[in-house]
Amino acid sequence: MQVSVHMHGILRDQLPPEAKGRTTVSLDDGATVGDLLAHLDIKRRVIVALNDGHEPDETYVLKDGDEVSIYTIIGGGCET
Amino acid sequence: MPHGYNGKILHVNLTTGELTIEEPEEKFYRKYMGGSAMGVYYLLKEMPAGVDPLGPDNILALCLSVMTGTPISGQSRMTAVAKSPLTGGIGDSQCGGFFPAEMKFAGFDGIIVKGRAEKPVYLWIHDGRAELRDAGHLWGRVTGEVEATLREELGDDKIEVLQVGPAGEKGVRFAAIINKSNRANGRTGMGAVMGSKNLKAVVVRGTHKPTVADKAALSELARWGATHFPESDVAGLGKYGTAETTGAQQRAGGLPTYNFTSGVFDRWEAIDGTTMYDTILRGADQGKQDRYGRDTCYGCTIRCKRVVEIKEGPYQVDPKYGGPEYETTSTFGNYCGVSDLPAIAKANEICNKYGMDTISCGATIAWAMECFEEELITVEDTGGIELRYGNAEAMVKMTEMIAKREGFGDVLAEGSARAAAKIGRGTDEYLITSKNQETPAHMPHTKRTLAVIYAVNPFGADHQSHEHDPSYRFYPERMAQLGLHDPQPKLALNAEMVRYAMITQHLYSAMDSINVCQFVFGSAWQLYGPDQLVKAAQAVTGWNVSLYELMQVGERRLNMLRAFNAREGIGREADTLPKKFFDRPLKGGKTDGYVLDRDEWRRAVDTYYAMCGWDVETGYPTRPKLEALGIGWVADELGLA
Ligand code: SF4
Repeated sequence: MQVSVHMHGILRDQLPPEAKGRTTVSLDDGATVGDLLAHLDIKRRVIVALNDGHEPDETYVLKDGDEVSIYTIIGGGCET
Repeated sequence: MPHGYNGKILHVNLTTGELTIEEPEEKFYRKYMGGSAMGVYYLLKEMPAGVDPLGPDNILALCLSVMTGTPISGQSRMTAVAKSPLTGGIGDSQCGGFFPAEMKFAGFDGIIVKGRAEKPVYLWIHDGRAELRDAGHLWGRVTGEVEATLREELGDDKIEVLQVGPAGEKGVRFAAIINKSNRANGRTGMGAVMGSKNLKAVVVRGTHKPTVADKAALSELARWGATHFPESDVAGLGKYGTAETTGAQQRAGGLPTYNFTSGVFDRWEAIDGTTMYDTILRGADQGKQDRYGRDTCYGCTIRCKRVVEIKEGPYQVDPKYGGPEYETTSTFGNYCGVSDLPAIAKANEICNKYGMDTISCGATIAWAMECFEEELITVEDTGGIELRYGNAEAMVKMTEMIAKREGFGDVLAEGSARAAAKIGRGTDEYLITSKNQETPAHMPHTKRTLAVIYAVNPFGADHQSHEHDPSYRFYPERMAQLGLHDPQPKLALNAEMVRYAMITQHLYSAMDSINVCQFVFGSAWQLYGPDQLVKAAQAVTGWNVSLYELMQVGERRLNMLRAFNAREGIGREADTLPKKFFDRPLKGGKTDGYVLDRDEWRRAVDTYYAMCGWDVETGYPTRPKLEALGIGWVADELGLA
């Protein structure tokens, strides 16, 4: 399956500059948010959000076509 | 010989022209450490209640700390304290830059300014010597020009200039004190106080760096910081500036938009930190913005300050005036519904050039825009300006008119609360002020402890006075150092969250006394945690300082600030939040429909006073509490039984 990813702030530096933090990732079916973070080699404290605003934890199983935004928690972050 | 500080406070009487040097004993420094605690000490001791904030009897204290100017990130801070012309109570504001360190090298730990000069003057301090000089030729001129003139006149490129711009001279109630032409003691109108004294500038130059008790320990800490910075949670803050946080606020529905009508701004990506980095930072056209587009404070590895340069188009921006912070992109941006980043950078430039607080200025304009949209303010008032949400041109124009007190700008220069009182017509319904100070860009709707701290903070709504809610959950190790072990569910405002707010507030209060940058030291996401703040203080001073002792300094400061207000008759009834936060549910995004609950909030504030050991009825500090903090003299000052 494929998920599109938007890595915000300093996280975008893990991708080539021209990507501006956006990429598409192919993962095995059944892959979780944790797998995605490992695939992207993200080691920082982050908050992951889906397109519908839902903020899943690392065990959440992704679906084909999911749009995932990943944020660092600068300044202690903001959550609802 | 003390380590870290000079042991000298300069007293300046502008009315008589007299300059005297006080040499307080060591225990004074250890008890108050510096900054805000040191400043309010002089205000309580030497100024009676009831003075006119813009009259000669107000005292302006400019205080460093025992750590300023030493080789560790985040120590170059100076606090300005005076009675505030905006809040009517205590005013308090910190700046960074190079001025604080240079002032220490010039020989003083604090400057206490009284009276009013007959004609404009500036204070020139160099290597322990101080003199007042004529500033007639500088009056009315903008910060960048004044800085250049003084450099030439004094024949020294290494001077640091702290000054008021034309806005401070004209008594704009949220005028800032500016240094380096781009750093500000922004909040609570300290620039208006300095201007009212006819003190145009304080210029410092010195060659005496403070000694450090344990150099090896301090270098070890500095090395640790430099090594850990790239993987730390402040790495992005360094590279993309404070506006890196815009996206995270938006996601949570916590990005104050249209004067706090909504928590989401659909065009947020146009104004966030990465867009600023890619488009308008100096050097962006050659991909060299890390080199040319970032600036720092003395000795800091983080380099979070922005340098914007725009050479073409309707909004050209001179890099000497720096670049906008998150607070600034928010107040001139999302608060006003403006997504034109160059226009926001222009408004920021005007604020630094004329000397104004970007938070109060942008938020006051946003309030006026909402009133305009509601047809409570019309073109009759504004002199033909369509002050609508999203009108970038009107926003920039109004910023300039406020700075110059021209037309409707003269009304807004009083701050939104006084402007609402003057205009009437129900415009006060839309205010977003606490103690007359406009609310910064963090929403109590999403971070509930802000609802308590915004209200009870002695100098009005402030976002840098405690740790925001999510940190309790994200940083368990550092929280544990403060005895905080029980993070609560999101959006809770129960006793444990009030305890969290109060304890982290005491640490932040300590940091505003020992005067360190809250991006470098802090209780959670900062480069250094509480244990490392203790190590730094020990290494610099040679005192065997403990975290307990620092927390007491913080609590002492807070009690002194509240006591100052109590003496002015300002207590619980002034600890309010904007009506809007309770009465008008947010619109759109994740926080659609969110509104604060009055009863829950009131209970939380009661709990807070009780935990602080204050009188729950009046909100005043009590004698036993003041005595427990070793400041019984403040209780005497207040005439407490
Ligand atoms: S983190 Fe930023 S504001 Fe703080 S001392 Fe460093 S450069 Fe200055």
